Amino acid sequence: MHGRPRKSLSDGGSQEKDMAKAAGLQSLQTQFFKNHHEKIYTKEALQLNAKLLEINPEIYTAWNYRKLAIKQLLESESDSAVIKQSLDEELRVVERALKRNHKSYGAWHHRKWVINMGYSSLDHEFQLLDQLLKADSRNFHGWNYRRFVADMKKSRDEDELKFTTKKINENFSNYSAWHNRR
Amino acid sequence: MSSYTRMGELEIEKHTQFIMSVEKKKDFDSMVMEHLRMSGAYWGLTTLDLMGKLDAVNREEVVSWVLQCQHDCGGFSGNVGHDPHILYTLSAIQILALLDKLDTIDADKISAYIVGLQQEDGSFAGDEWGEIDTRFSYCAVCCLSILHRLDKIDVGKAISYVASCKNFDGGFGCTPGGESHAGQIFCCVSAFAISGALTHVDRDLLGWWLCERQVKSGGLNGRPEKLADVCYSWWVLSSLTIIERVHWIDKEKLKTFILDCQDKEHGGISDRPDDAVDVFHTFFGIAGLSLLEYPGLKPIDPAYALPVHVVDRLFFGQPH
Repeated sequence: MHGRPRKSLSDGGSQEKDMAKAAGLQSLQTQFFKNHHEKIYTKEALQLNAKLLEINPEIYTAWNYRKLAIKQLLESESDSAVIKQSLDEELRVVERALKRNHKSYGAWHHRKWVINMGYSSLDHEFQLLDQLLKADSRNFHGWNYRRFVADMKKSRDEDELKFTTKKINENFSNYSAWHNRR
Repeated sequence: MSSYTRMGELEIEKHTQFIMSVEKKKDFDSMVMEHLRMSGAYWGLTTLDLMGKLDAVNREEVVSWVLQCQHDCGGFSGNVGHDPHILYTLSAIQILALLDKLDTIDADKISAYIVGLQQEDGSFAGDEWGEIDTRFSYCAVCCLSILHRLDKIDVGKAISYVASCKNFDGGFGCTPGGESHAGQIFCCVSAFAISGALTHVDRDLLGWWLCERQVKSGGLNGRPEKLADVCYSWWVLSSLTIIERVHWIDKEKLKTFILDCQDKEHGGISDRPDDAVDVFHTFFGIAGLSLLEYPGLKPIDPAYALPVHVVDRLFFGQPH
């Protein structure tokens, strides 16, 4: 845990609220693991999983579960419009998770895994990255992901140089932007 | 007892109580960490051993729980019921090494799991879902070395992949082209050290980048322009120790910074002074103090991140 102020243990009211939050999370987790072990991938099960990931994007098993669900879909579904719709929903789940923790390895990897399937819009990815790198210009997950998407799109080096120049003009000490010019 | 502990500078008793209490917590912040309990256990147990307090723990209970986290594929998960991953496989093996219980596992099965994660280019995936990161290269090399089975992977390719992640500043990132970061640097430098491949490191160039992590407060950050954080007392310091440049930082100032991050009332260490404590920062703070030769702490190996007596037992004790 980083950057959280030290709390006094005597605040009874907030302790009660915290235990209620913990109980809620426990209940979601118990249900999720049941679905995962019994290989249940219904719409409701996926929604419950998405709720869990929104609260805690670090539960890596929950991201694995979503990949298993997609794999199952791909085995039975040949309509690419249906597949694209499902994958777009995956990207929305990731976006919500990234809002909770923009440094979540699990969230970023799930996004990369989905994009690698080749059904999704890369332009939207650049837009998302512009927002994220504006909020935190040193987010190395974002920069790594940007290189991945630029490579996929076969972006011109000049365009990427332009982006890093813009970031440097915003903050001359942005080491990440300087690094990404190499 | 040393004069430092008598002065109350490092609160060993409080930190011991804190670590023992972590396991029983059921609050929200503890719940969100459940998926990495295996690493949490490794951090807590190793810290206890460094402070000479490992006897407070029921070893049989710990071993029994660790073994419940092993899957048929040979890998270990972060907690019971979670999926296997190379990160928690390493933590599990480190715990068993610490407790001298490596005879409870099938080393060949675990090596086969790790070998299966090596990719064509020498890199390692974290699990079957394919995330690639030099952290996993370190996990593979460290784990297999502890199991005396490093020869099961293609070490040459593993090392050349790690070397391909070297940057202009002498540092290393997650993947080729990734920005230098102290955590990744620890992983890469330690992987080289364990494999006997430190020639890939430009010690002066990297040493300079690493010693530049020390900020005014005496603490260390992980990258330029970032805040100091106690966990970098480990990632940066262990890297500097391995490349023999630890004298390039001000050790006394760093010691003071780490000690200032203690919660002297309730025990535990935080990322920076007056922040919330956790077992992660408690381990890295105390491991950092051990590297700084703080009196009263056992020495720690900078590459294996285990007490030196454990590493000695692994490599100079009874052969398997």
